[in-house]
Amino acid sequence: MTERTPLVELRDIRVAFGGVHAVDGVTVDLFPGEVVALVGGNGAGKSTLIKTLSGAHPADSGEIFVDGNPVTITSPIDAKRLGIETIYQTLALADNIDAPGNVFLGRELRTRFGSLDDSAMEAATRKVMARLNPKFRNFKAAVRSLSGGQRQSVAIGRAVHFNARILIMDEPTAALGPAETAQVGGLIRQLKEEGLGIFLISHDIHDVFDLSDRISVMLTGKLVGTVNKEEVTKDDVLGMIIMGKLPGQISKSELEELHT
Amino acid sequence: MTDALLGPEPTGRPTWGMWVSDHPQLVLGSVLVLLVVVTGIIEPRYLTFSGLRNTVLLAAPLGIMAGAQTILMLTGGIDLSVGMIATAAAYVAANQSPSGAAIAITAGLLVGVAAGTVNGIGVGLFRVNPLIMTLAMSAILLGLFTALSFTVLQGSTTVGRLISTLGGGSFLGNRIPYNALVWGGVSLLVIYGLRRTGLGRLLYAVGDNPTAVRLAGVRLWQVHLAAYAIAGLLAALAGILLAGRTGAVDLQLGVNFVLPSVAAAVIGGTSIFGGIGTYSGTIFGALILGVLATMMTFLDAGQAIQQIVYGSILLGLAWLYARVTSSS
Repeated sequence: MTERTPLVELRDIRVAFGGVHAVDGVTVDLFPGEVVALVGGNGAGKSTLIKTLSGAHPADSGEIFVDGNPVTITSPIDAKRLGIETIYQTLALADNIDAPGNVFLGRELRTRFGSLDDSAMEAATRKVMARLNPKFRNFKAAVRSLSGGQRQSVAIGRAVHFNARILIMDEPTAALGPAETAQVGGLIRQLKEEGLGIFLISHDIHDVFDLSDRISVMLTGKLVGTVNKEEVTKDDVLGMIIMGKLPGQISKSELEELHT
Repeated sequence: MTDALLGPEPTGRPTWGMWVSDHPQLVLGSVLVLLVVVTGIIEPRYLTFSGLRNTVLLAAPLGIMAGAQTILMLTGGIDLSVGMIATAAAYVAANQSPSGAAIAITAGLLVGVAAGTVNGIGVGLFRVNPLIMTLAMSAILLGLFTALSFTVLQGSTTVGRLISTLGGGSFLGNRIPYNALVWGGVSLLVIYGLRRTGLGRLLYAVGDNPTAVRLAGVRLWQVHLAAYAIAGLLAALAGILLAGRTGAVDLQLGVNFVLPSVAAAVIGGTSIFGGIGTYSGTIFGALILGVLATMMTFLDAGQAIQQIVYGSILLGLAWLYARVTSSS
């Protein structure tokens, strides 16, 4: 491995809800042009961990480094200032507003007179969509009327337009059909080539193997381990997710159990 | 590659409900004209300039108060204190009238902004349910002004000439009420604000998906605070116009406007669940209620009957909109 500085590093992060340790001393990092998948069963703590980075729910303790510098993230605004954008599972779009309105939600472009500059926002949205999803044409309709894939492109378009360097994608394909999932996969590869670092949270082991470079596995709030995709099999990762054991620690009988 | 990402084209033939929701202004305008004609049949003298002027005179303060309601309903909120804010503003304006109209009006409007700001702090920062917050505000204002009317605000309870003219006078040969002019100005500002400003867009977004707005990095409490402060300002303006129309103030001045202000917004198509509605619709709503009130006056129906009619219309429309939106 080279001695590059990670784009982002989460070190010894802890989050507790009441007495429950949702995230218990987890350390993960992410390099430019890399996709790191965060996997684990329900309640493993992946979403909670990532919320400490997106600013949706600050950590109780632990450190976050961006480009090697310690940073404090207590709100989504802090995260956005650092170039961290999040694509939420629920998409977090205002359904009654059109695509440009959603791309610029809370960061609206104004004319000299202080009114909304709708044409500039539409032009910028067209530009970013031409890159992400050339078939996208519904710039005037409320996003309620768009398909799941189109809505996903709006959410990603928002991140891309604001020059995100670190992208967090929480189950980006959970609500999508096969064709749309393939499209989002293409998008992720494209953004990765452009040098973004992407944290991908996913339940889908096939997606994870298809898209990620490294895989960090969590179980009951703790990090089981981080592995290079090239060096492991799907069974290895399943073993980590279910039993919390690293590859090599799993016995043959346990492996058979996985397949029953 | 398939066209899956383009999404399905709108399918099926347009339903009656879709047509209504696509042309709300047309439907509201037709209802308004129909009501005017029916009222004219009941009382032929109504279809004159002075007859119609009286309707506008009645509708203007209501329309401005309903503007406050529209702005808040778009965010998923509501203001049950508009009536008492209007009363309080009018009371202060009357009390300050001996110092001149400018001071009186400014003082009255400030009362509205202050009460609205407190509402906004309660709803935005302390997450108090808007119904509870504004109901409490209404009660507090009533108690406060009942006490004050025996002490600090014991002076004038009549308004000066300028406020009387603004609230009750007319121009162009007694044909166009001044309060309609004020209402027109307010309407332009509110419509522009909702359509063309960042705050306006956020009001719609907050009503549809507050989580999305928060995650987009917006401080939600600021949006609520601004909305409730503006609503307080509009309610105060309506109260001052009302005081100008009646000439004198009392603590009952605005109380009968709370339900109609919600009704005007709902008739105009604003959803009480937030995110849907326009002020132009509300203007029609206020005019429709104004004509209804005139009609009931001609029919010799008292205030009691009017309240029953407003309540019934509100329930009927709530049912109708629920049907229309679930079928489309």
